[in-house]
Amino acid sequence: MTAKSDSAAFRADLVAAIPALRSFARGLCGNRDLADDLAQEAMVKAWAAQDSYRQGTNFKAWLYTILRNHFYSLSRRASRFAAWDPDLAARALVTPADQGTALHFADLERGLGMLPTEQREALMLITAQALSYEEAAEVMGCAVGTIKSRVSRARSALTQFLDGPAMPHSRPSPSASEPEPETVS
Amino acid sequence: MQGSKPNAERQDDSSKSCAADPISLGLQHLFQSVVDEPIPDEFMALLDKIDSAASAKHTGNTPASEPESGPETGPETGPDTGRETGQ
Repeated sequence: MTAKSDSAAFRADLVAAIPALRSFARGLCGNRDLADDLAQEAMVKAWAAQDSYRQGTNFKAWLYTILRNHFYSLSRRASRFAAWDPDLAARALVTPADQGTALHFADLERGLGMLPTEQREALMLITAQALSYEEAAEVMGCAVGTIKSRVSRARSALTQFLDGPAMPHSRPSPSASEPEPETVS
Repeated sequence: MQGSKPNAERQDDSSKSCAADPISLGLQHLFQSVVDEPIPDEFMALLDKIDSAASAKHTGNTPASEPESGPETGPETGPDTGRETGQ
């Protein structure tokens, strides 16, 4: 009887974690459809492996581990998963936000896409997914110090990207956005 | 050297400590927009399939935790589960 109720509890936990799983997947590959495929495949794997979940540990972190392992094994075989697909910011822009912040999201997303996957991943796990450094280290299978340095490098790269001189394509038409006249005659 | 700011971001105080940090705030907003999306039907349909396959198995077999060596539950739930990329 316990097997059945355990399954029911596991199923409930899984359902509750679907939104987070989808958002983590979206952050990994940036594309809605690929991310949802990933998340569903991770769900199936998680179900098959439910005996390996240790009670009392972070369930989401356990799911993220399954998803990212699956992601990396797929991306070794299919290059379509390796490329960051900028689908995320387009959706975020739809959400109500003041104009300044909305513009900022597009830049942030572009900056995210420039990061190495492992840095993007570490940054997401710590900031957006609110894992502890220890949990993130377990998910990514590396040392806590490695997570910290990846997050730190990701942050400084992003900060530089957001604060620094604009990339050519982040200012599409200089004539419109720069009223400052050239003093050269 | 690198830790100029304490990054003790946990679930509850994260909103507070990240308010001043545009990167954290932006990322949270970005991913929250995905979290807030309704769960696509295909997810629940997939779970239902796995669930019924698993419970049929449990009632038929020993209820003890048998070491299911292999992803049996996945492939036999049906061809249209979006697993065409796997195995």
